[in-house]
Amino acid sequence: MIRLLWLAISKSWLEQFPSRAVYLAELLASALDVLFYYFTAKAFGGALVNLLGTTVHKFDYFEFIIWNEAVLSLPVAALLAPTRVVRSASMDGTWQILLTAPRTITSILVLLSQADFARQAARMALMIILAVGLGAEFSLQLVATAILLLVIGLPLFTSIGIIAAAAYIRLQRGFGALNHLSHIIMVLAGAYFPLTVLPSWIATLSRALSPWTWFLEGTRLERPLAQIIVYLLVSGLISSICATKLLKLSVQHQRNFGQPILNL
Amino acid sequence: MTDQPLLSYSGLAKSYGSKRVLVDVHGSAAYGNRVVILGSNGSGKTTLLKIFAGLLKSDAGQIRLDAKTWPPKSAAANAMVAWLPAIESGFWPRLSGRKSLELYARLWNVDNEHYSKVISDWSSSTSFKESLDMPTYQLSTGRRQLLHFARLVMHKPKLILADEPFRSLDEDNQAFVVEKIDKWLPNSVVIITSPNQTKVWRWHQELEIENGSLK
Repeated sequence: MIRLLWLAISKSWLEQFPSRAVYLAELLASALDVLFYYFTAKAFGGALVNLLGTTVHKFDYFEFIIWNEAVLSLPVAALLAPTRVVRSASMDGTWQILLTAPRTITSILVLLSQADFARQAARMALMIILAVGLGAEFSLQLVATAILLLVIGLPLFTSIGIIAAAAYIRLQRGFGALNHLSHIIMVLAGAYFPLTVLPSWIATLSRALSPWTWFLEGTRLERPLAQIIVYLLVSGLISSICATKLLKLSVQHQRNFGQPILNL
Repeated sequence: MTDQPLLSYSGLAKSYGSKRVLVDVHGSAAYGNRVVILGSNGSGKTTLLKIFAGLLKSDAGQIRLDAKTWPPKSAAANAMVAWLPAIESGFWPRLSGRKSLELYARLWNVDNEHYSKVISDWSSSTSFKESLDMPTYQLSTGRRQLLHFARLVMHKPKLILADEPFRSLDEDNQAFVVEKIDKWLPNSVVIITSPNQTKVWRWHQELEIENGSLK
């Protein structure tokens, strides 16, 4: 299993980093992001001091935005990864073959999607290291809580991604919309500014409906840890069952009608 | 090897909307049979093969493979069938031939020993050997087909289904593939499609699809 996961990660890694120039581009992009946030925080962060000061961990705006973007990048990648895997498997012609594998297609999608996280995890670590180099401070408690919640939350976020992939297979479109959705999720989770600056009904809806918001607030120690863990575990279980069922139905529909995935 | 056919099918039908592609297709194939399905473009060859592979559901009829209803409910039983589509790639473009084969082998739960034996045996072909360490996007269609055939053998299927598999292979490589499949999978049924008559194997059955039925 470890070798299988390693091969899947190699595949994903080579697809995303086909040459050294791409490594350099990734490094530069991360550095630019961090610098952009650093100077934005210097210019405008003061306006948010009071709002940010309400959290258990006393973030300044630079730490706040770096932390949110880094920590939320994996759950958001989990939303996109299964659809990306289906899309690229349709393009390289492996999809048909994978459908005849002696494994459930859900388990294959989960495996290949996990491999897709390697890049995100590297990018997340890189952003935090660069930010620490610029003076940001993240306590051990924060880091440990984030890792714990990531591990516990991954089944939930991957299941939502599988549901999105099932919709993509069934509707034969939607990858672009999914990308837009990921940006909306980041904004509504309070990744770029505290939720309190949004109209209260939006903040309420976001807290009521978006698991990404719960997760992010959990990593910032704004909610009781036990509450978040129970929420992630229970909703992870329910969404896993739904994801398996919906993916099976979508593939069955594809088998019934012989429709290829057209929206490449 | 038994007298019972490995594959039997009857009453298979498939339509795409109002277009009837297959009508009352029936037949069987005994262990070790090599079968070619001939037919012009659009005659329904690929549709029939996809139904055998479980990639398409027939509108009517039934299939039995190894005395069991096919396709199976459990994904694990898919290991009985290996599918080679008529597509240009079917590999992950950036992975080398070797890693692609290994990834497929792991996904198909092929044991290390069998994997290594197949790689070593097939490496007697220079084309195959050279393909192992190149990214698959750099390989010609014929070389990718060679890798695919090795993949099929590696999976130890009872039924091989290949959609126009020889169109990009030169005669030497065709003979090589036939020799290796006969050596590794003598009792498996091999069904291929071809738009034209082909002498690649000494066929046990040469079937032709005409007006949606097998003749």
